[in-house]
Amino acid sequence: MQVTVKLHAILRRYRPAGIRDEGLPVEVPENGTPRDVAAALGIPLELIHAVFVNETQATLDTPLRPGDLVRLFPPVVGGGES
Amino acid sequence: MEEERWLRYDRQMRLDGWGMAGQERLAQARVAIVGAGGLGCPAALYLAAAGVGTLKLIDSETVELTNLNRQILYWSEDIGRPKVCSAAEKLQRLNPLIRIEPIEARLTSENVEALLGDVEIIVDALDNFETRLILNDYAVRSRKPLVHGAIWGWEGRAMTVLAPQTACLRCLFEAGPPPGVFPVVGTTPGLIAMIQTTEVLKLLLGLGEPLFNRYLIYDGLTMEMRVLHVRPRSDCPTCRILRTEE
Repeated sequence: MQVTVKLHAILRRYRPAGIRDEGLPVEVPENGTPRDVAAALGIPLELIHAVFVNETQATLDTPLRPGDLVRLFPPVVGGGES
Repeated sequence: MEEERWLRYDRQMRLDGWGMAGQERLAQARVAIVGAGGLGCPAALYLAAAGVGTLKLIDSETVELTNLNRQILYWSEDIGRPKVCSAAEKLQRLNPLIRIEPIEARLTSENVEALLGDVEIIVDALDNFETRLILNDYAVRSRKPLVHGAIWGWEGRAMTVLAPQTACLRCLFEAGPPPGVFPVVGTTPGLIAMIQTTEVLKLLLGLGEPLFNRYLIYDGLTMEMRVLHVRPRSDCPTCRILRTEE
């Protein structure tokens, strides 16, 4: 099944070549989870610190359904001292 | 002098629910901005302009050339000066009616109570995760609102924490990245700081709906701004204790 994935901050670097900022279509197994999304895109799990599915807080093990929107975030980031 | 005071704030006092009573409320307020960098500079400017009575600025660093693309309270001649001193001078010139308290210090678990015990709202304008957690844990413990902002590159995020009813930062993120230099365009902290400032004013005036259990994300490249839903985690090491006490 296919889900749509948005990668945030430094995780953007895992977008396949040629894809810009729109959601990435990603194939995952039936009953797949965000863990499968990370595997499909080659993102090390330790880089993922927050997961949202359909704009609601989720986990790497939240079951996905076709067409779900999955957002993956790296750790909380800077504020801008030096 | 009295008339000048009201004229300064005339345009905002015309807002529904603000008026003289709201402006007096702001004048009585004590707000801390922790971190006088990319987020802290614009937040301080707008809170000073709005007439927040006491602004406590906490930062241990001096101004560097690499700060100047985004830390807009510092100008070329300020390089090498303590940030909080340079910031306080300019803020005081912008609004002589308010009190600026510059604190040249790094927030630690030992001094957090001494530094923040006398403020009612805390603005998280930090650049490192370790200090953010100290701030988060203190805000949860003391049940003071913490207005969080964070940035990376073209992206920013904001959320307001108020224990025990909202998720805290540890409900969202358990660990941070290693400290280091990260890329950022100056407009990102500028925009996120405006969200944080708006949250502070709303909280003080009791207006609108703060970003409670809502995580605002902004992407300058796509001009996408979304509000994501978060909830307190039942196993959160910081805030679950408060909820079990309720």
